[in-house]
Amino acid sequence: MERISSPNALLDVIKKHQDARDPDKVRISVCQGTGCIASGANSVMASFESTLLEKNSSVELLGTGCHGFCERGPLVVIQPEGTLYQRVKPENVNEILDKTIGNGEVITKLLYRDEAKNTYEKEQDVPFYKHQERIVFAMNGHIDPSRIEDYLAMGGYGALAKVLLNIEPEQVIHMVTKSGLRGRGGGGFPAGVKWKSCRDAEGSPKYIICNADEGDPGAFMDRSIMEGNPHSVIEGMIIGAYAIGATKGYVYIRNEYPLALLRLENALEQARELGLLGDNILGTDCSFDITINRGGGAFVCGESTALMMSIEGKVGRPRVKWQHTAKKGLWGNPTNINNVETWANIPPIMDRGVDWFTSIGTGDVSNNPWGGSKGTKIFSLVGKVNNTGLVEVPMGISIRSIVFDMGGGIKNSQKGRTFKAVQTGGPSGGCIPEQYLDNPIDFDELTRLGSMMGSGGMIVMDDRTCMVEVARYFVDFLKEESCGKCTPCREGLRAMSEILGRIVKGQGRHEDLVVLEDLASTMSVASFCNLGLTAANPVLSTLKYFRQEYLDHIDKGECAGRQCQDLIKYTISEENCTGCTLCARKCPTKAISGEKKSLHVIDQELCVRCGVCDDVCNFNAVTILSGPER
Amino acid sequence: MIHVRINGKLLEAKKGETVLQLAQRNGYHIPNLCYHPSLKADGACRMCLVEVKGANAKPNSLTTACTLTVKEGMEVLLDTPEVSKHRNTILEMLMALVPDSPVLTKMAEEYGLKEIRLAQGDEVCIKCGLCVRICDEVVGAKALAMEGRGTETTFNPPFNEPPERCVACTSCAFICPVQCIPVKKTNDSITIWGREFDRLKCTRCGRALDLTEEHMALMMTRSSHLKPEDLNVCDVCSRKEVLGTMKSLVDGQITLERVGK
Ligand SMILES: Cc1cc2nc3c(=O)[nH]c(=O)nc-3n(C[C@H](O)[C@H](O)[C@H](O)COP(=O)(O)O)c2cc1C
Ligand code: SF4
Ligand code: SF4
Ligand code: SF4
Ligand code: FES
Repeated sequence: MERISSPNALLDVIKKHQDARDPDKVRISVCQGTGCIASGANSVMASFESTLLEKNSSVELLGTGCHGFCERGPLVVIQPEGTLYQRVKPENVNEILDKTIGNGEVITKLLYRDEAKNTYEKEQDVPFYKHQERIVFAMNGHIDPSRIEDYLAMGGYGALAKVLLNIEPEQVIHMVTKSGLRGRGGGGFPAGVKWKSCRDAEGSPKYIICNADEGDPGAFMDRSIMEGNPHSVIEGMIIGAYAIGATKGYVYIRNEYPLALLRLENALEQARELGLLGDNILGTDCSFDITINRGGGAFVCGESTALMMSIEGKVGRPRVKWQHTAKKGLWGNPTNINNVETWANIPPIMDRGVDWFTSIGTGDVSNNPWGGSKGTKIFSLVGKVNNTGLVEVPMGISIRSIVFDMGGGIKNSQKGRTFKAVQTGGPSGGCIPEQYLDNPIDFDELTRLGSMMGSGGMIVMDDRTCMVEVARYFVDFLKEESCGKCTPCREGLRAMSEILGRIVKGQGRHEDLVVLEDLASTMSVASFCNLGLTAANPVLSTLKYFRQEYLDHIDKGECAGRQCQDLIKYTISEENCTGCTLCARKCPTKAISGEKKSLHVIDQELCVRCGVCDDVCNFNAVTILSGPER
Repeated sequence: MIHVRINGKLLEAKKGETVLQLAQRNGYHIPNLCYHPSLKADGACRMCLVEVKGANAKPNSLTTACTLTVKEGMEVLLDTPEVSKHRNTILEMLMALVPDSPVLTKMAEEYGLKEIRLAQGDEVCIKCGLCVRICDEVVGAKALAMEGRGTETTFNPPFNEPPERCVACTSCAFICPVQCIPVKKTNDSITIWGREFDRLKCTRCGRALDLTEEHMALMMTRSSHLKPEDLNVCDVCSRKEVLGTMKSLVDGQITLERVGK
């Protein structure tokens, strides 16, 4: 495509692409996100390509970014009806082309089926999607992320044209502040306030950074945004650079994200070609370009000062902020850092306006950007729920709605599994128990509940989860990932890990709980950076809401979640066992013996407590004993 | 002038100085383990906690004095119950890490820390980072490194091998607050971090100098004014030389111009 000479010319180009896109055209979109590719989407795509070629068909085939419902991948959506096919295999391709494309017939076996065996035809009716509000993800699934034309056809870069034409930099910042947009990378700091202090800071050049380090295990929304719609991040950054007066941008991207990197590099190249990046963007006197930096891999590198050290080529460890990084950041120059999702929110805000954005979410931000949480947040829903994946929801939604409406409830509820808690906010988030399921969640409410928004991780836990073990797991993760610089974080985590390691083995003492609380309280006020300051959350929140579980481990050697290997014993109940022999056949150590149609018995010497027998038994005959009954 | 109160007393602070510097200048003692006046503050040990009020501080906020720049109207409290509670927990953590340090034991006595409730380790280094920082920022040898992550963090020569870039200046051993870097000196050698260096001898009298060939070379690359003869003469001989010069001056054997040469 040709270089575009002015914002007005850009509007014309957008119009041309919009007009050329026929919304009623039959389109097959095959998800090409990392999740779907892992489950075989590449071969599904290839099969569509070759079959369409064979049939000489003019049907449009689209490889899109992540739809969020990766668990059910590979996903295929047929437009304009929006028919969603899940777990599609290459061998289904012919049938889809013949029946659905050829005859308008829906193939029931490929539809999504919920726990109650209801099937859903259209993507937007599937409960997982129905309750979402997709702003950042609006185009994921509708555009081919490798084609800038697709983004333009959806009105992409329209916000940039509008801003360059009519809106002064100060006014852009004012709008971002008024929108109440708060940082999606974890801290929830109002983006407009940060932009303003960077704009007002002395020194040049000024830098902006997109934090795409995404270190929280289980979170992958930033990856999906970059893979599915890289131009939205780039457009947000160009608008930010114009508003702040920055001339250089960096995307600090996690090394483990090769596909996102590829899509981003490709998108940057396209944007440069059109004159959307580089010197004199669209003929204006705004000049700005973006460089990609690949992350060092450590969790702590996502912390803003550590990240800047890493870009400067030093070891990524948090450093002393004598002044805010907005004033003295990269190489001592004014620097504004925002998260991927924060940047991707900018174009819709500039395009659709402040009033629209503030109509979504909680609180009142008209006079105070801290007064609420506006817009949506993408959560990464995982754990013991039926539907896992990425959900974009309005701020203020309840956890119940996410877990039960979108998530489809607790997995294996027919086997008696029930909800116990949800852990939000990544490794240093907290566990929220059932009594808060209906609280409207946003930045401040999650913090109030002893957890945090973090990057939007959400792990659902059922009654077979030991909350002491949960705390131990996250403490051990953080113990490895702490940068080791300051005493409270490094030594506090070491001590917590030792204590929790004993409690889960049934070797805890009552005094341990006091010590845990003392350590937690010091870590939470005296650590150097936010990793250490929040690292005690898993311990504090489980001690607060699930103290009895700690006490049971200590007093009775009982693990309520039946998870702690040293405190449990698998047995088979006489009442329920039908002697079907399934468990005996599946047990990896051959610890189960018994004749057909008679009671089976577990040899405790051989049992490694893997739980396979319980998983496979169809008669609920396996019981896990713990505490005195063991 | 900036006005700051420490424990209620109004003090005049210099622009840009830290609360720790202000306190020390005025005779207040704030415990610290990773601070040294010749280095940039790093805020690693967290022992220098103070409570801050006023000047935009959040209510009852605790922070480290070594990284806190003074601001007009700031109020700092040194020994509140909150400060001493957290400081003692940090000290307890360090004493669990390094159980047998006289320096820490003395601190514990001073601040009333009675019991170590945490599992005890057997390390000698409290991981304050001063050795790495002085070798980097002041000596300029960059022979040491902070390596590893989390509880595995170490402050050692890279890969814990005898450090190639070390010049045996022994600054690290000198600055280490718990004196855990062993230095062995004989008349002919200095051994530090597992590497043995030859000691240079005074070019006048042959006495062993606290100087190595490597150290001298490094100092000369860092300052173009230095000449070997400025360095390789022992204290006694250079004092003798000065005395000799002064005597000749008094005796009128030489004039001031000649001294200048
Ligand atoms: C240990 C640690 C890890 C972090 N990791 C990330 C990350 O992976 N991605 C991110 O955007 N922010 C991360 N942050 C938050 C950043 O420091 C910073 O606040 C954020 O990038 C600012 O952008 P925002 O205001 O748009 O959220 C992390 C913070 C800490 C303390
Ligand atoms: S809080 Fe943890 S991660 Fe942050 S500086 Fe201290 S040791 Fe490093
Ligand atoms: S003795 Fe070696 S390691 Fe220590 S400060 Fe001097 S040069 Fe650095
Ligand atoms: S060796 Fe000494 S100076 Fe170096 S980090 Fe350890 S305690 Fe600090
Ligand atoms: S002296 Fe301030 S943190 Fe160590």
